Amino acid sequence: MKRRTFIITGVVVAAGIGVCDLFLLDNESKWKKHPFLYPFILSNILDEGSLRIIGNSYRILRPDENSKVKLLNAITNGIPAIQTNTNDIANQSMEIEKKVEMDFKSGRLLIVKGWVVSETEARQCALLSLS
Amino acid sequence: MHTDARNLDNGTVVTGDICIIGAGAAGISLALEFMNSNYQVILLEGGGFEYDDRIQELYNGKTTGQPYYPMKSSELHYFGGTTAHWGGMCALFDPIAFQKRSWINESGWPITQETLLPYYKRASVNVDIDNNDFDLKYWLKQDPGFVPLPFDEDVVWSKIWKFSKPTRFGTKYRDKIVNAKNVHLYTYANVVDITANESIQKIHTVTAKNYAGKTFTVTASYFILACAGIQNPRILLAANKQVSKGLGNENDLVGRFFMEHAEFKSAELWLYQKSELNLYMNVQPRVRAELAIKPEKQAEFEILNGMVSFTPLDYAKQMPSYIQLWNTPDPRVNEEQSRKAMYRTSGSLMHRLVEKFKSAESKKKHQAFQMTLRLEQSPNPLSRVTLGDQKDELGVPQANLNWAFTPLEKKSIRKIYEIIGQQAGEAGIGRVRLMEELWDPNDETLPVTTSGGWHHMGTTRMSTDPKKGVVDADCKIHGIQNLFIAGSSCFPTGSAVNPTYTIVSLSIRLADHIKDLLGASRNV
Repeated sequence: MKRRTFIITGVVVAAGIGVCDLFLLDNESKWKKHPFLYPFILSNILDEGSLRIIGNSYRILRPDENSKVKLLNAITNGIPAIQTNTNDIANQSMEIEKKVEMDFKSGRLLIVKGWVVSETEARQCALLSLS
Repeated sequence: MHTDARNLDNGTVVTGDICIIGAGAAGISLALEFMNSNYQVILLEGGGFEYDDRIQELYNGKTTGQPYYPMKSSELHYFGGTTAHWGGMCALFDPIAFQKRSWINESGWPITQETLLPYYKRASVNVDIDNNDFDLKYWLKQDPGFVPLPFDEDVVWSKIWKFSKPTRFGTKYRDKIVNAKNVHLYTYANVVDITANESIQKIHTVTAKNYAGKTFTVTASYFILACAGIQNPRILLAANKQVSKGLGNENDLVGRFFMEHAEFKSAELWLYQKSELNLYMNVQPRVRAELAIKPEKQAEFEILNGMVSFTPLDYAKQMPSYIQLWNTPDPRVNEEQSRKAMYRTSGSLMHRLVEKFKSAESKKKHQAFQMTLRLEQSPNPLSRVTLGDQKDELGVPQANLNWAFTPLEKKSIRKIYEIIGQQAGEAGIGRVRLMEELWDPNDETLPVTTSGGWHHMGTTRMSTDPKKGVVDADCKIHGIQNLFIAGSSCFPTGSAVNPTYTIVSLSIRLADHIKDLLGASRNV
């Protein structure tokens, strides 16, 4: 399998698993355990309702990303497929956190409902708001 | 020496070498510099030694534009001036404040920070700060509890403030001035006119009046106007019997470029882990830091200078803005309202009791902090002091103030918080939230809760070019040989720093200059 095909397949599988997981979410204890929906620092500051409000605003701001699949792809984009396609939540969280940090370093920021947030965590909120 | 001018004979002529008009931070600092010299100093103060509402009424006027404090209560009119309600905050104007910045209209001083540094050192004595060490590293060594926020030092830095007691110039220097042999203080001496020679190149006399109906004149070799940023231009504009535009106003600059520090609760810092932010609180030994953006970044983003202070959010939320509290013409009422608001902010009796039993550590640590920005104002010719139609009781037209901003202020505020938000995110310590008034990037207005710091600057700005400034680099009015201005009305830009310490420094520098001039003329 060519490298490019391998990566694309990996991402699609990961996204598929992620989306299935997301449809099964039904309470806070579950969403908090899901790293794709869990902007680590923001969720230590804000309650779920506020995160969802940020998520709703992000989807209005970026209507082209207004779907679970697109958001999940955007969140996991750049993260090695092997790590998104696993149940190792701690590892996934770490990878997402690294991505958030990189967002801040490289200036991939937005102001949503007044919050200066990274693109990735804004997408996490958006995904949460759809779940 | 002291004379209550209400007891003078009408028509008295007083003579001295130097006449200083106004006895606030600038005027008193100037007089102190001449004490025990061979020069006779006449110091004129419009009020007495205590607050007098009828005297304060002479400062009444109208405001337009951005809501401002009532004119009558925006400065104090008695010996010691507005230092009577000074907060005591002292910091250096940064080097960038003096520089020409291409993105800020009419920026740039004809002097540098380096010029002022020796005078800042001397001013430390006047304002009772024990030394002039404003270096962060020095203070970090003094107290291990001082921990700066872990931000990129090339982007955001922590600027040190030192706090005066604060020095009330009226109280501290009254005896010294009154007992000085060569300084003659006249209280109840409101300057109502300035008279020049025929060619308007030299001032002959100033005329002073009071409610007792007494009018007297002062002649001197040099005159220094030291009545702060609203009254200085008012006196110049009102001195219009020889020149209809007023003195020093050939280029229509007197009163223009009024600047304040725009201050408002503009963002919040939410921390992942609770913290004291000890370095940023006002703690013993009366030192604290505020966040500021590095000059290189100000240039990169083409923004104004601003400084951010922190207050625990639960306290800050209960505290109304100063523009809401300081809303009556009587400064005493406003001060009382502010004091009561601060008391209420500390919570109910039960709350205070509960707080008493909390551990010291838990009392100090907070998750959320209000960030208040003090922003320098972009010089704007439409932000100005003019003469009103109404006259005060002594016959001088009242001063009207139009406080006006440019789009650069709002742009700068948003960018400053974006930068701090980015730093907080990158450091992984928390997140920043901008207040709703800042959400719309197309909205260029400042919220009505924007307060000023009672810092009146820029209205007789300094420039080597008479077409761009009222005074030259020595604070002398262009085209007039012996009329000088002391104080913040000479500032071409206002930095993001409270002005008193710089006012005193600049006044000491002016005193040295006048001494040189007097020395030279006596040696001729």
